[in-house]
Amino acid sequence: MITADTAPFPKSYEDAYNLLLSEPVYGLPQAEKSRLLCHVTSLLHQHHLTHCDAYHQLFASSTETFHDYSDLPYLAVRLFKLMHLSSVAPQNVFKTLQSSGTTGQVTAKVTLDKETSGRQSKALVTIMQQFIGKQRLPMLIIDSPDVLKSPHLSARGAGVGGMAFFGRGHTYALNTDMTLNHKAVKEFADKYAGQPVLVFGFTFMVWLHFVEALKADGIALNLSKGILIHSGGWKKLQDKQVSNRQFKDTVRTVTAITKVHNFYGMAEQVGSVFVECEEGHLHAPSLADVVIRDPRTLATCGPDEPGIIQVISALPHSYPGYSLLTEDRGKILGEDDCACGRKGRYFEVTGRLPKAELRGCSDTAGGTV
Amino acid sequence: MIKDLIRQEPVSADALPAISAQNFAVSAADVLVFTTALSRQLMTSSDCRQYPELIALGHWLRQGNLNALTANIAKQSYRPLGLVVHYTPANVDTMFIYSWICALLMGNRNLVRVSGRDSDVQTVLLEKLRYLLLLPEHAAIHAGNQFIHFERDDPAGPSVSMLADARVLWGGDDSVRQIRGLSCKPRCRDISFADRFSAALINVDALNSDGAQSADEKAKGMASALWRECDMFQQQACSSPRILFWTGEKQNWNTLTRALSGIAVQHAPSMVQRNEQLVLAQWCIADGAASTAEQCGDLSLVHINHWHHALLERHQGHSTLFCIHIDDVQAIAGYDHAGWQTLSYAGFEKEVLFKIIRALPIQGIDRVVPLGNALAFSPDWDGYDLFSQLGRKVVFE
Repeated sequence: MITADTAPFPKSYEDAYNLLLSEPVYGLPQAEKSRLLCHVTSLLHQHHLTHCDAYHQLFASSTETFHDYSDLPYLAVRLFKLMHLSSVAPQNVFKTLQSSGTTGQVTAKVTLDKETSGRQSKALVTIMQQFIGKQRLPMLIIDSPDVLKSPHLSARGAGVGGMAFFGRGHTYALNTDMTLNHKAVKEFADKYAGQPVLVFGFTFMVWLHFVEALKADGIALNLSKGILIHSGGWKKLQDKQVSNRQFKDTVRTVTAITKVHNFYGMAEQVGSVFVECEEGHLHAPSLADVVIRDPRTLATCGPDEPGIIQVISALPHSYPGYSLLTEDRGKILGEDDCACGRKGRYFEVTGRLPKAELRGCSDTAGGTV
Repeated sequence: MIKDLIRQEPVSADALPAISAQNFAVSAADVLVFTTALSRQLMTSSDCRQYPELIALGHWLRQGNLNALTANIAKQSYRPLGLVVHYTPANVDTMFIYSWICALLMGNRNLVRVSGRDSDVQTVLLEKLRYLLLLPEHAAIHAGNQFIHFERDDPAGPSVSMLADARVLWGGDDSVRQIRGLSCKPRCRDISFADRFSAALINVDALNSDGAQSADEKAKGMASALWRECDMFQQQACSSPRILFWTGEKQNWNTLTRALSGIAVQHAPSMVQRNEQLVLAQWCIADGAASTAEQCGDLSLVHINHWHHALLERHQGHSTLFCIHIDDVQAIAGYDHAGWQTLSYAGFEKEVLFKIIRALPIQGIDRVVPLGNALAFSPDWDGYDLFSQLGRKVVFE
């Protein structure tokens, strides 16, 4: 039997990637997984050096092959908002993904070719099936149907579109103005009461426009066999002092859903998501990992030391985003020993880096003078 | 709504005491008693000690310094303009005092509009002012001088502007433009300080010249002076250097950066700074403007090899210097821009350097000062002599 442990590493990215994908999503012990992932990222490094000028300018002097995560160069994630970073010829661009951004914010642009986009979708399916199962469940989407009509491929639209794949009979829980569509929700809940269903939405929307709205109207749904998947960050809920515990408890009270899984991911690394287990911990799947870095020195941190999250993914081939320093904060909670039984690293996200305060002369125009 | 920041209560534009205060109620001697008291407060209070900006202001306010600054103007026949309205910037917390004191020393009454961005420094400074101005011995000064805040779009804005005999405008280009758009008296004077940038110039070979000190000792002095300029006001002042030109051998540069690594240490570094430095450095390297970046303590040095002026728009402070190696001083002319305010220098023979810069056909550079002094406020600023601008010159023939 050929195992990842004894086989010579494949020389092509595609083979190396497929080897990694063929492993159980949460079955590889950390030491073995990081060896494989370092190999794949070494191949990605060589690829981007020869296909992306900006990447070459930045990292041509990096070591050629990585043996440890600390060997990996990392790109500040904001660069995708500031520059066009692509490792694919213009004629091979399949689509350009834009990160969400509120009005006036600069959005990130991520260039995808057909192959990378395909791998992203497959990876997402492989990971999500670990929690949802292989069956397509009746699906309630906590958003308005308009989210898919956006002229650009917004991250919210892309997120909903990506997740919609896992369900059938899609029902949208919200109206265009973000109010609860009582009729649609009631019909869905009545039709599938006590049956397995999939509920998906962005964390703050699930809380503000679904859970709170149900609570305010005194409605209790019976979706006891339902699974709630949510993502998109806690910032808006932290401002409202809502903890993950409280989130889950309230969801259970108003919908009877007990299986609640948050996941951490970003437009710059679509496909490699970190899903929350039954213990409330985010887990790195086989094809991705996290490193925590000290905010002041950017040196790597040990377990339990809080810092900035660096995300590593085997997926980004059409753009140089396989190793990114995010602007999120978190800490590693452990390796290979989570009570849920999954191997590899598990961690938590504790928040965003605060916004840098801009107050140069030119900023006094902002009305503060 | 106008808020009086000393009495901490709302006040209407037509009830501001400075409008009706008597001219000449305050003598030059009264002003010096007040400034000396303020200086002492800033230099001896424990709550000021952690802010180098406040200590620097305290030093500047010493009687000896103010006497020296006004010695020249005092010999001439200047009378006050009347009511001066100051619009002070958000980026330099102590600027509203410098600008105000200059106008006060010239005998004017003043309305000082302070930024609504409450920084720690500003809070401490207003506390000191509040304490002093509410004392009976400074009542005359308080009657003619108010520290106020109102929002940019407040209806009080036009009324206040109409009261001014002179307007002192600090801020970004947009703020200055907006305020100058407000109506004012026909003879109102505007003294505008808009967006500027500054640079330092260091000859690292001077570290190796003969002298009592070793190269490392000299490097420490140079590094301290440079770091002081970058650390104060968190590199947000117009006179904080954002570019560092250097001449000399690489090995001497290395001596300087070694020293900087130990010296460039912030008391309370922000959590975002290192990431901001990384973003800027990677952005410049990725698009070919910079070759490399090096980290010296909390200071990020980005080595520029293809300069374009728009790079300054990317620079948001965060203890970062764009480093540019030049073969000789004349080369700075290639980076000339009307927005260039200060050049602080180290490692040069003063007179030789001045001679070269005087001869350069450049639009920029209003101040050439020793490294470490870029942020020392002077009444000669942005090409103005603030004293003469804030007075009415009377001719007797």
